[in-house]
Formats: sequence, structure tokens, C-alpha cells
Amino acid sequence: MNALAGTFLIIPARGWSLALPASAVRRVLSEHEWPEEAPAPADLDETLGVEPDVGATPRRVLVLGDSSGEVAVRVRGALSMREVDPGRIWPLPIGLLGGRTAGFLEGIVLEDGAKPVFVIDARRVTERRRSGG
Amino acid sequence: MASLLPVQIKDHWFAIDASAVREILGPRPWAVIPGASSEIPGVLGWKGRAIVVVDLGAMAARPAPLVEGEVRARTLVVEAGACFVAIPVDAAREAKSVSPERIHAPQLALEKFASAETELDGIPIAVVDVAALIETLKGAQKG
Repeated sequence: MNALAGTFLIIPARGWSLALPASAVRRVLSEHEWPEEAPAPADLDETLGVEPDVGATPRRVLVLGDSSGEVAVRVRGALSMREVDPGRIWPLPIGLLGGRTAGFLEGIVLEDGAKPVFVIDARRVTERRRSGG
Repeated sequence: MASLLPVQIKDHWFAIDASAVREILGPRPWAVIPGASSEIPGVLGWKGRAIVVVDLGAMAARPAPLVEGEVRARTLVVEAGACFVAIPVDAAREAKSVSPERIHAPQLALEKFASAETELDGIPIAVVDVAALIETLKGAQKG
């Protein structure tokens, strides 16, 4: 799974962490930095169908970008950056997994004693946001 | 002769084709996939890959589904068609040879997903075709 390896923005969630490829993240803003006149960003938790850490703060706005433009999503919790070695990210058997969240997942990092880290397919998130989902 | 592996989840006994069982591991933690079905609630790591967890307990006549964080004493790794799946169970017994004529269509409807039925040690037991079960579950997810 070398194509997936690289640097990721880690977002804590309930019982696991989410990892967004850093290459897809154009900017990280504090919530108050988001222009008041702009449409409020959707919560990434809700888009993915996962539960955030209870009471997690602070809230941030991530601006995700690709060749088609940018979309903004709101996240909460203490963000961090992490380098993941090649081979540590295992592909998920998506075809066997049901549910809304699985459709956004690209891989998983499983380590003894640590919360699972789900690697998010940023392209699917941006597509969903653009389509208004 | 068919070789069947009796496995137990709570008070349910099932028989799985032993030739499809690649490994019997000890307790293995698994990761729940948010929003996944109770039948395939998550994944676990096996030989450098993530394989799905199939919970027979969730499909049993008297459901006894895995709950998040629950780890059963044994984990079967079963080859099911083109993929491998993990089946957590409470116990696994020695495989038993059964003549084909003693394996018949489900008559007692022990479990809704049973592909067949037989008797082991005089007790009716549901035979699970894991590959067929996976195909059924995949179809249900697509539908």
C-alpha cells in the first residue's frame, strides 16, 4: 500500500482516529477565522457518519483541495501530523464492509495497544461536499 | 468424507468446513467499522492485511452479537472464495469426519444462515458454508 504512505493529518474520534492525507489539506483554520459571510462548513464527523470524541475541542476548519477546487469541513479535537511508513497502512476490504463510513475509508493502521487509525479517501470527501452531501 | 470443525458461540454450536479454515488463532482484538452491519462489524489484522470480522453470533437464531471491545477466545481465519475472513468464536473442538449422506438440507431450521445440517455426537448442528454466507451478505449490502 505504498501509494497511501506519507504524511497524514490525524483527527481524533470516538474509539479511533481518522487520518487525512496531508497533501489534500490546503489550510487549517481556527473556527473564528472562517469568514462569517461564507456558508458554514459541514462537520466531517457527520459527513463520514462517525462520532466525535465527547467534548472534543478545539474546532477547526480544514480546507481540502484538489484539481477541481476547494471545500471546507469542520473537525474537532487536537489535530496532529504523523508520518506513516510504507506497509503500515493496510487496504480495507471495502467490498465486504457495509455502511456509510466504509465508503469513505481507504485503509487502516492497526497497532497493538493503539486506537485504530482509519485513512480517509479525501477525494470522496470533497466529492461528497461538492454534491452537497 | 467431509471434515467439519465444531465451533461454539455462547450456547450455539456451528460446524464449518475444516478444509476452508486456514488458522485457529487465540483471542484477537478487532476494530469496529463505524456504521458497519452487525454481521460484519469490523476488521482485524492478519498477516499484514486487514480482513473482515464475520460474526456468526449476530446471525444466530438467538442473536449473541459481538459488542465493541468484546474479544472471543478463538479466532478462525477462513478462506471464503477470493477472500479471507475472521470468525471469532468462544470455543473450537477437534474436527470430525462426517460422511456426505449424513449432511442434509436444514430441517430443524437451527440457524437461518445454515447451508446444511448434520449430527455430531448425536446433536443436530448447523453447517455453515462461509463462502456462500459471504456472498449472501455482500448481496444484502448492495441491495
